[in-house]
Amino acid sequence: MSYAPFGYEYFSVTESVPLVTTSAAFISYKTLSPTVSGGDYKFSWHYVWSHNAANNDFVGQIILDGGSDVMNISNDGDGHRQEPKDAGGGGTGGTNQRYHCSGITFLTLPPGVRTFDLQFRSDPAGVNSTIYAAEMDLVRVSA
Amino acid sequence: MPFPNFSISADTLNGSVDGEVLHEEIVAAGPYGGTFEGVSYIGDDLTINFDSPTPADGATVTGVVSAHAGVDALAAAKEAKFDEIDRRTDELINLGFTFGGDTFSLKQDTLPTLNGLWNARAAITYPVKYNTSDNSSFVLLNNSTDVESFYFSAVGTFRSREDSGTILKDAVRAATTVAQVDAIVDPR
Repeated sequence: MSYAPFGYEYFSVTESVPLVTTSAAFISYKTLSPTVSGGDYKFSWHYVWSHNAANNDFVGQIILDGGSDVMNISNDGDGHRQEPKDAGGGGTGGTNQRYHCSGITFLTLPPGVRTFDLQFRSDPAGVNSTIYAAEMDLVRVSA
Repeated sequence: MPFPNFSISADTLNGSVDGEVLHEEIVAAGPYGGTFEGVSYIGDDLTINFDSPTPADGATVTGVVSAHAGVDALAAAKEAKFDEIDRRTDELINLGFTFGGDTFSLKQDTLPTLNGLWNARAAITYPVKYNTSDNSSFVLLNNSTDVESFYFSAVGTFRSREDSGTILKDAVRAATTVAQVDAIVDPR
């Protein structure tokens, strides 16, 4: 019988320097690259974002090992797509609005180096989309 | 997922360059052989995101970005020169002013005293002893006429120091290149 080593493996990464993009192609904001022993893990994330328009979208995703978007828990549409209702007001991303996105998902991971890549983009191109700060955490919850 | 495969560094850019403005300028400078996907920046570090850019694309975009870098470099050079002039002006003002052969302070913390003396010159009791900068002596002000002479001497010195800096600042303001700004030497 194996015991549940909750927290036996813990990996975390934070970033607090804003990154602004007008790109419609995803760009990477921060990466978490833990070496895991394999098993069941709880992955959680949080980031502060803005999009300087009230009629189009910010799009965010966290890509695991270059494949699936772990934020897209429903497997329907995008992991994070959001249209703000306010634009302008100045500030780093051209708007004074600050929104928060956070979530949790449970993953079964194979052993080895795993890569969680927090990416975002503007839709359409030409509008300031910004991530101001982010944190990603991975905790082993069972063998 | 198209990822940026072209970037240029523009460390002299400052935060005043709005990403949306730069994006539109780069779009307007096209058409391009590759696909322009947007600009990204952290502080002064700018990345131009292109998919399959050509050398000509790189040259065009570099031209657009360099125009901003040049403007910002000139602004930065002017700001630095203004600071240099202000520092020298402050040094000269802090030497004080002379009246009756003695030197009196013009430092920031003494200006309210001077202004207070001026404002109250018709109401105060005379004579007034006013200490020199080093407190080794004093001047005796016997009436409002003495105060006015004393005050005008202070203001005259203060203004001449400021005005000599303004002449230099006019030259800095008129400069259109970094080299012209750098060539301005404070002779004071």
